Amino acid sequence: MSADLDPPSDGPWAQAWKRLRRNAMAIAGLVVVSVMALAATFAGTVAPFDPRISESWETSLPPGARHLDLVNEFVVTAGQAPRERDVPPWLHDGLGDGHDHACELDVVAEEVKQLRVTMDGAKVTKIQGDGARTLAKVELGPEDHLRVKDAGTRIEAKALEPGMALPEGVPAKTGRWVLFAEWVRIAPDAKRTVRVAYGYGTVSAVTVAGAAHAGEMRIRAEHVRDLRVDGARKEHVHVLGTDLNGYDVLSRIIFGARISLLVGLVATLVSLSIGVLYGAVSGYAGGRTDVLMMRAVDVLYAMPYIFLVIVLLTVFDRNLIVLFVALGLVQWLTPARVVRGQILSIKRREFVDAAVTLGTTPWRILVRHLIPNTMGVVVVFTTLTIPAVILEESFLSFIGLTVKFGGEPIDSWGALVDSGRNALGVNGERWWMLVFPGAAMSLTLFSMNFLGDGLRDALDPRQKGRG
Amino acid sequence: MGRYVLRRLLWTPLVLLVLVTLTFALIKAAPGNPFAMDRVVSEEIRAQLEARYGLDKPAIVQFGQYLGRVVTDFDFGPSMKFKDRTVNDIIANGIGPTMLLGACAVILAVAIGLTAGTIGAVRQNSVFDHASMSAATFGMSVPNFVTGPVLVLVFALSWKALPVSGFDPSFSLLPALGIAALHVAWRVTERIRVGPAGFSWGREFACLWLGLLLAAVTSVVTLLARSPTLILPAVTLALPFASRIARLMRAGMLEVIGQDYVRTARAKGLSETTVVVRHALKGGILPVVSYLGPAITGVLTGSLVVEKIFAIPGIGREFVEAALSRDYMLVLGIVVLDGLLLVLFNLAVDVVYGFLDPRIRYE
Repeated sequence: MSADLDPPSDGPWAQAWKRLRRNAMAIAGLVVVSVMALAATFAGTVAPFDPRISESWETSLPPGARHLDLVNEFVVTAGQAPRERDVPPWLHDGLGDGHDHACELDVVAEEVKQLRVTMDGAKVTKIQGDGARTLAKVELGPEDHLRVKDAGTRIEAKALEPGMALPEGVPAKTGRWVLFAEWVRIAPDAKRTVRVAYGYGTVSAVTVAGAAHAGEMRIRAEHVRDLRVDGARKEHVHVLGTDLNGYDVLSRIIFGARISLLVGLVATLVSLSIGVLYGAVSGYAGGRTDVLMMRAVDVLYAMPYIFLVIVLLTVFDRNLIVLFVALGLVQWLTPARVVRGQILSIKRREFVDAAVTLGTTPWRILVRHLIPNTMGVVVVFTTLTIPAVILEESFLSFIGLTVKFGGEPIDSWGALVDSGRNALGVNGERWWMLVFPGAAMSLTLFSMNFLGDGLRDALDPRQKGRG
Repeated sequence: MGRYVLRRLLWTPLVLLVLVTLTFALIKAAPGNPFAMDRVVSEEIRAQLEARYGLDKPAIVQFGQYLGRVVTDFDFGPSMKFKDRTVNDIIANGIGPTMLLGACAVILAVAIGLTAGTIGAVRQNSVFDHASMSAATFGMSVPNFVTGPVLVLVFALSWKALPVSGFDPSFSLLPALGIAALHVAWRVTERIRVGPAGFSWGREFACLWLGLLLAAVTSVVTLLARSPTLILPAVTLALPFASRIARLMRAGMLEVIGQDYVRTARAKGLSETTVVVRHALKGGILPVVSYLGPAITGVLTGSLVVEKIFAIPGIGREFVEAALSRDYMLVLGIVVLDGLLLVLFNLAVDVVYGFLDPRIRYE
């Protein structure tokens, strides 16, 4: 609503806008809400990562973590076009544009020692290395790890010695059995540079330390220490870290905003439409109808609403429509009461009498003359109901009633906070998974409440400072 | 006043009836069988199960029987998931922790909110006023399922000053303390005068009120000091209400302080403390009293979340678990019970409000 679009004599809306502009907190709230809404609308563009794609080796990275832009293991074969699913994005994105590109990977080699671990149930009894030599203890350095030989899965252990309990990552068995494991050490000295040149849709050459490499080459992400494409370092930055499953926290928050804001908006529209219409009809009809309709509201007001919403979501499948209806049904009572009060005072005014004298139908008076005059209240209620609904939806997600859409559970902010809470760890070491979604949600609610209060003050200055 | 209370009391069963009917209808409209389990149950067993829960009769008969049992025996029937427990057993076990937690939270919220709000209004635009009001606005916006885990993160996991979860309240000192506090309140209020106009709202009533508040706050503080598992849940639950009460109290006090009778009291040369405690407080507290009804609803709702976060064996947690496992009888029982509690608390709050504000005339 810019000033030059309005008539010279300031209408009530222009005056309200002027008053709102003087309220710094409300404007700050408006800015935050707008940014959130834009980010949610264009989530696909804004979010740095696709929240549905997990990169399983990038789990629990702290905020600001940088990570080379790689996939777990990928194959390059000289003379062949790489398949999209087993190469990192930089390798197929640059292909086919008619130019030559070069990328360099600093790769370290793995040294693998075979281990034969004799187990008794869940207990290690004997460890043998090369040539059946018995080892007293295997101590693992920072560059070392163990893995199950056939399955290739990692074993979580700092050391291995006879007498210790079965480490994590090993399937439990009964009786005496033998675990074939590998002691993997990344050899930092044996760093080689792999150059992959590509152009015209195919990998034109693969060279390892100056010599051409024929045939296919498998590169494991954990061995790559540095990566440059056309001289530029390629890496991911997880600004807010990643979660337990390797999803980017920032991207999940942005996509979560989409759900939360959408739910807030739609449920608010549902509830306000019901509330305004109900209140207007009740107020305009007056008399016995009014008493009856308002008594019904009184009865419904006394209900423990959130409990009924939970029952509704339990009973019916937890889909988005049920949620909209449930939350919409909760929130219509207060607008109905307030709009009724407004209508009661407006309907005594002269312009209504004039309309009645002209023979306008009651329905038309309601829609054309009375309801438009309650719009100030409606706007205020919209801005205050949206955060309330977002809060309720997140509350439901948090207690486990995650809403499904198209069979898939939706990750709204409440669900993110809940998963963050469960991921904290014994010393709270993975705090970012809880703190950032919680902060995003609190900031949004905070801003919306400020904006709502500001709008209320702006549209009805007499109410200023109440509550 | 008496007629008003009577009318509200008559209104209560109607509200509860609507609530039971709504919930029951919703549950009956549920698609599928409540005994839908992974394993296939033979026809006979299913028939027996349905007979045990009365599901073989038409819905209206089931409703009548349920209502009859609830009204005459206060019997909410058997649980559908716990074969050997009735809904009454589960509620009886859970109501204690929930009530204790809720009471602690309400008392904390009232104590913190009233203090902060009063000081904020008396020292308007001071540093304390700005700080406490910013904190209150923030406290109102941050949902308790965010504050709870964050408090756990800070105080329990990182700092390790408080336990993460659990429930082991220790009451040993409480009875003695409660009696002592009530005795103090009694001594303080000994000189209550009943004036010609009935119960006068003066110095004495303020004393009684402050005495009871003091007793309640001391009990809660002692309880929390002796049972650290309760601290974080009570604070989490109290925070949004404390914030709201602080804001309401400040606004109410500011309005009252500007009025003539307060100016008169000041003009008489009374000390500022006397003016605030004896004259301004009684008017300024009214918005807070009318907020107590919604606050109690909020505490019951909030306990769903807080009991989940802190693993407290209350009815809130039972309700969430019942809802997730579709134990309809338990869900129904808890909804009805909570509805009853809410209606009664709201009635009590309205009656208290009527006492406090002589301007209110219930027609």
